[in-house]
Amino acid sequence: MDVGNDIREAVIKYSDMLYKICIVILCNEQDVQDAIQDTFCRYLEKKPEFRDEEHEKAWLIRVATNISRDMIRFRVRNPKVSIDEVENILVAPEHKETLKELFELPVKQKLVIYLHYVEGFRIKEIADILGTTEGAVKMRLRRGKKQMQSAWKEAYNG
Amino acid sequence: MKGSDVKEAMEQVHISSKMQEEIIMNIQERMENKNKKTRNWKRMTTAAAAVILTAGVISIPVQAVVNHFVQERMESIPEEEVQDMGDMIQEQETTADGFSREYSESEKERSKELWQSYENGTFPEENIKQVDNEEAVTEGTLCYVKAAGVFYLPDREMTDEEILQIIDLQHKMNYALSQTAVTEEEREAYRAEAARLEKIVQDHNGINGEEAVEAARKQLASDLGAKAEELELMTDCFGSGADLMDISGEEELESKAGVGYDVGFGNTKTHYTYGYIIDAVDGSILSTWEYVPESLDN
Repeated sequence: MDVGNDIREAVIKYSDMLYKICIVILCNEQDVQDAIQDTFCRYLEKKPEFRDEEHEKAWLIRVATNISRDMIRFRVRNPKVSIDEVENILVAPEHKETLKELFELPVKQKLVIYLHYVEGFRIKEIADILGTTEGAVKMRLRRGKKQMQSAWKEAYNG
Repeated sequence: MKGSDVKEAMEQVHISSKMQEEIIMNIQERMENKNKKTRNWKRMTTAAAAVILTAGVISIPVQAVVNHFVQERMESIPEEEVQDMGDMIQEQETTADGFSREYSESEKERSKELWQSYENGTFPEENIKQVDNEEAVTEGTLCYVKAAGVFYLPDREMTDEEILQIIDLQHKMNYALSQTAVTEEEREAYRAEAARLEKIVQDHNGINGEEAVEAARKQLASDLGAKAEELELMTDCFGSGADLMDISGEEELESKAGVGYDVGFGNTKTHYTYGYIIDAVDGSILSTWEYVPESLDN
């Protein structure tokens, strides 16, 4: 087995998706890079067998999410930065506002919003990935949406 | 704000090729020096240890109902077997076991009764057959497919012995998970967290899990009327159905002491679920949640 090629192939295929998830959770590029590296190391070490691509994707998301949340709880981290300071986020102004609101949400809320609306996972799938109940996912989704809506109203109605 | 706004915005966010290359180089270096303890490897160890504490709100199963018959049986499982089972569960992709077909009405009824019998010390004569993957399944024979976390059921009606074998493995897996999911240090942290939450409840003369379930049942009957009868209390293997959790960070929940019980009810056929976050101090309903599966959401 050519480990070098395996690594390259996996990183090229999945690093963009993992970057998005981790930046939403961690809001810091250095921490994001560490989280992605840890995720791929675990992937290469464990060499899990996957049914299909969706299964592989869900596994990587779960591991990356756990590592990122663990970094928040237990590690000395690099400081959280505002979205304007994230070098790789070059988006149109109207999208920047949306991202700012998303990034400001509590981790558990923004994570379910991301997985549902961006990655397209269903409630049950998110509950499986995050190891929580469907009810909890539903609740976080509702609260997150509500919070983003009020932030949007505040921003645009003064 | 709509979900599509978030999607559109996030579609413009990408990893840089510079970061991709750095990641590839760093991983290669780490994989070539597996025994070298780098900063990142230490981080990984911490990460693995912390999994159980990182599921959003910390959820502590209520432990009061573990029967001593079951406890004895679980504690008699050889340590190596517990470890193997724990590793198997950790590597499975799902967080709950599946079944190759639905239980028949009669199997459901008997399963409920047999679950109770199991708790009172009626155990199967044999262990369930376990196979590594679906290719190893023998048609018409009950077995557990380890890789997929699926109970493969025979097409015919299962015997009581077979249902007991399933119940037995479910108990064992839950026990194994509780013993192996985390390091000793992490287990200590978990126990400490459980004790901390329980102490908060005690200090405030709060309610126990059973009382929380009772309060939830009353509210459920009031909220849903006759429909409430279609829903069953959602329990885990050893739980009473009420999970004690830290809700101090949940600003919308105006709890008395930052601790609540999550109590849910579900329809096993439709997967419709309805539940409550109950204040662990005074038993008041802090929040109601509902999950309507897509099949019913029209």
